[in-house]
Amino acid sequence: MRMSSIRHLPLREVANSLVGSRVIVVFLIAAGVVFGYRTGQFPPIPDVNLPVLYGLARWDSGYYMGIARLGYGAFANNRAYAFLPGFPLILRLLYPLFFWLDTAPAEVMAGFVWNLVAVALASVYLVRLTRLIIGPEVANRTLALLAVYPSTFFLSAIYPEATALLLIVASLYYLERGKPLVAGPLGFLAGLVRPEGFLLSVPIFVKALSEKRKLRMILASIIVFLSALTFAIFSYYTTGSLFTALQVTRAWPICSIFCFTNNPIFNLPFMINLLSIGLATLFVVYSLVKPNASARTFPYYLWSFITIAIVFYVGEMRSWSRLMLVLPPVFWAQAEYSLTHPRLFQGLMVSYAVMMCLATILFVNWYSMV
Amino acid sequence: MLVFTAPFLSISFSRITLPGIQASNVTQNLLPLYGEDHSAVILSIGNYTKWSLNPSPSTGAALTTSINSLTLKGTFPVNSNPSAVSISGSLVANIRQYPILCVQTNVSKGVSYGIRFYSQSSDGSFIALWKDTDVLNHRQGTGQPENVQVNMIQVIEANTNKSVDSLSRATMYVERGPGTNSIDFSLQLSSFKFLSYRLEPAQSRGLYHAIYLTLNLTAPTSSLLTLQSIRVEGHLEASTNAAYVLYLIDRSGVYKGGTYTYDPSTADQVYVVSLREKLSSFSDNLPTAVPSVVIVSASGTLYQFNLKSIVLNYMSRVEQSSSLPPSKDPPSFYLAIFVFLPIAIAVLLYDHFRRTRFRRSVERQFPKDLPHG
Repeated sequence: MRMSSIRHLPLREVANSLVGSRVIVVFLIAAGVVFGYRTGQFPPIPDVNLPVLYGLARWDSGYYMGIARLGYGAFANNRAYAFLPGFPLILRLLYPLFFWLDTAPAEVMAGFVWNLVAVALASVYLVRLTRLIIGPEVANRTLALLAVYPSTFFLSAIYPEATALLLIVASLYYLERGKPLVAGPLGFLAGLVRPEGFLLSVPIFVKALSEKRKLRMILASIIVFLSALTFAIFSYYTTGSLFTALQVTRAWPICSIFCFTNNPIFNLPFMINLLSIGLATLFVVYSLVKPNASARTFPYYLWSFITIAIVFYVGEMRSWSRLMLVLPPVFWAQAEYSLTHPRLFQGLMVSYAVMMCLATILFVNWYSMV
Repeated sequence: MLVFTAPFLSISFSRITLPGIQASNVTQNLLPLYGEDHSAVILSIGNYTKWSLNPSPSTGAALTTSINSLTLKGTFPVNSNPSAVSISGSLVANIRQYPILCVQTNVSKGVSYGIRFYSQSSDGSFIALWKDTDVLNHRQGTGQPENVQVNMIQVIEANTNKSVDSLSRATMYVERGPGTNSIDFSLQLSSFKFLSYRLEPAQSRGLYHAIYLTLNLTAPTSSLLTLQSIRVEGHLEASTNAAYVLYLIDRSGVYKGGTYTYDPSTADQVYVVSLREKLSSFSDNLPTAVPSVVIVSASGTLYQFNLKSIVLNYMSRVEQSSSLPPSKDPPSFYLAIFVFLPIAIAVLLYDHFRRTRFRRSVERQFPKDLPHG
């Protein structure tokens, strides 16, 4: 089977549970728009004039759309620098295709269509990658878990998660296929889509330490790491500081884990995110320390462990579940464990599906699933 | 374990306020409702024959007056400087008694116009009560009839920081900026009057032009809390097809909410007025205290408002806690990120390479038995 190219993409590979779940997500968004219960607060950005799909543009979507339309000067106090340019660039390239719509609706339409394509391609790469390093049963379960994960709707919303997932799994796939010099640039692009993308250099580097062709892998690892530097240089030339993105991100008013431990709020968005990261941490740590841990998957679980730890401390708590989406090992760990615990798998699927329905409707109605 | 449990070491810190929207239900703080009677007492500044054209040789303007109307016509010639022509009239208007100015005018397109008021001091000189930036100045002519209704007490206090009881003189002007073409202009004044809407209790059914929901509140104690919006839930009764507008009046100004049409089939309705659309004037009586939500009839009559709840939405800009250090991150953050996490990574890597080495040595000894991993 030729796996090295996406050109020979059999339709049956695209017809999978993750792609199928997009129908459910759109249905939930429509239901949330029609029957949802509003917060009663004025939304931070006006709704986009696009029937039903306007529910996809919430919270940070406004920043991505603003950057796509007006560039990084679009927002005061350099706030746009908290967001990377990869996804806005895609919106910028695609929204003129929807020329019969106004700019903002065209951006939402472009983001929605692109995310569908990205999810389809990501699902194919993810299945192939998982089959390659763990096995076919885990591959199917991984997709199923991702399909009903509480934050899976972000893969369809005007957010960069679908793009980041595609680039990350494609990069890892080519890495496993022995093509680190393809994996490196793909990882570099992932680092220009999500801030934590540059951490993909960690598994590539750890893998290089135990591989024969060390030099090419280390080079790939450096290429991925350079994505963080590239955006820093861009911010230097536009704002005069290498650390603008860091400063803006740290100054952002977020609810961190410290905020929560000092003032616990047990409402739905907090609980969904707390449960998501709790389970992710539990399974990833177990996969790292279990006696028969696979040497092949170790670099990826280590990468996930580091990313989760950083997200846990510096991330917005109400975004934790979303931030798990781009970490395939979070799903591998649960899928792998559930091979020998089928009841657990059923329990996870049902719990995630319920939380996914709630989270989607909360998001559409401006509740703080961000 | 330590990597993920470190934040819970900081539980002993005092409570903090989450950044973001903080909702505060203030229904209990509502003062008894009151409203403006649906009919106004009118002080008409009639007889426009007393108005006169101020000297302005270059415009060739002509003023035509009668008892009921006034028309100013003319032409602004080509000029590299701004041009203006004005008319003035004496009047006596007690704005404590009649605070609402109501003017019906029609000014041609392409020019701007304004209305300026003066009071008279004890020595007979006129005191200007206007500012260039107020709502009555530099208004664009639309070429269509236009109603201008403002609360003069509010406008004058904003302009002069003084309390004035009566007006003695009014000036209206038409102006244009520098232009390379001459332009014809006209200003028609069909009504110039002051209104008084009597305030009365509105807790029972009646006929009202506006209903006031005033809150008895102290300002939020923290300067980091800013009022973002107010959410009112209740049921309005009004005449068929009545249109009404909601306003929020706070210390910081007047804010316009949505415009609604009365629908008798609707039960309780939720109204949200945000502090986004700030107005420089208000068209009716100012409330007796702030903050207040005012429901003003744009057409038709309001009968009654049955309130269910009022919620104030404040925005907290940052986490507020005296215990958290200025950097926002408590020591356990640095401990976890810079000590526990690197140690955990080092231990995991050491264990991984130890196992890999062991596996390879076993593989060399028993190459056939080792399962592929």
